[in-house]
Amino acid sequence: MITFPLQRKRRQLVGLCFGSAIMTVVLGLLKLLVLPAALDLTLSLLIVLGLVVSFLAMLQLLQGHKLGISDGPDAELDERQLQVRNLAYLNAYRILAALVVLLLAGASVFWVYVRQLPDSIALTSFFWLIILTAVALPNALLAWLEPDPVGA
Amino acid sequence: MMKAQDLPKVYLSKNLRCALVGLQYILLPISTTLMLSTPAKSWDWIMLVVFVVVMAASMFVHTTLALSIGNICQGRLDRLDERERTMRDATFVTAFEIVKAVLSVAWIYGVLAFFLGWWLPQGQQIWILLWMFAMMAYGLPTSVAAFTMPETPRDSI
Repeated sequence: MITFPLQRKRRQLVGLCFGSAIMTVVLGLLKLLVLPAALDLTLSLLIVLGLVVSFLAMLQLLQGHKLGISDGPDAELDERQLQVRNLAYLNAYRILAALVVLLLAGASVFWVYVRQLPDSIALTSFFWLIILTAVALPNALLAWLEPDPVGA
Repeated sequence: MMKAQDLPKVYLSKNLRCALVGLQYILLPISTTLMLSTPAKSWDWIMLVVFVVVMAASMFVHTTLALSIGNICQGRLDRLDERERTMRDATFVTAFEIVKAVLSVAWIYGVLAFFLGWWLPQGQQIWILLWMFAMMAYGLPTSVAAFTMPETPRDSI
């Protein structure tokens, strides 16, 4: 019999994936605005570490069939699973749109005032958050919200 | 029974809707390429004019399409009947898959370009691409709905 990870485990995975991605963005901002150049190497290493952790967690999240979530082609899902899956995509699209607009507005204001682009490591962390959200957010929402099976 | 404000406010045949969607997604890459290839010295004026024209044209097409599909993308959940909800769900799933594919291709290209020395956007070009992506993503659900929605009889409007 196949056993799927419980909701607590799935939420930990989602937290690890998006937590480390958000951490890299925060570190990228710190690197850009606040911290002295002497800490550049340490921050760059932490950002790369965060990106790697986030990427590995994303690969786990994308394997929906191993997590026991309602992800897959329409023909493989029942009525309830289809509804849950569709709602996750709808919410994911709204979150992605809000995130892109927020990041772009922030970056544009930054560009107007500072007239300087973030360096490539900081820029990578911003792009990674957008790409991660686009690729893994529906599965993350499903993994976060899908309740444990009865009796688990 | 649908309320008057839930009905499509503009009638467009399916062919016309598809043509407008096509126009929107032809206009966008053409204007993006134009802006990306604009020399940096003349950037400010040409950029501003092209950007305003593209924005105005895109908003016009987007608004027309949005008015022609009724409440499917913007409507509150309790205003949609079963058929419309199914259509809205399918629309957002398709739109998300398209955004996912575009970003995945961009990401793979970015990684390859970084290591192989291919073209990568620099400076203002990054903002141009990001704003164009945001515009594309903003209008995508409406475009998908307009593209996939079946022909509606004119007298139902």
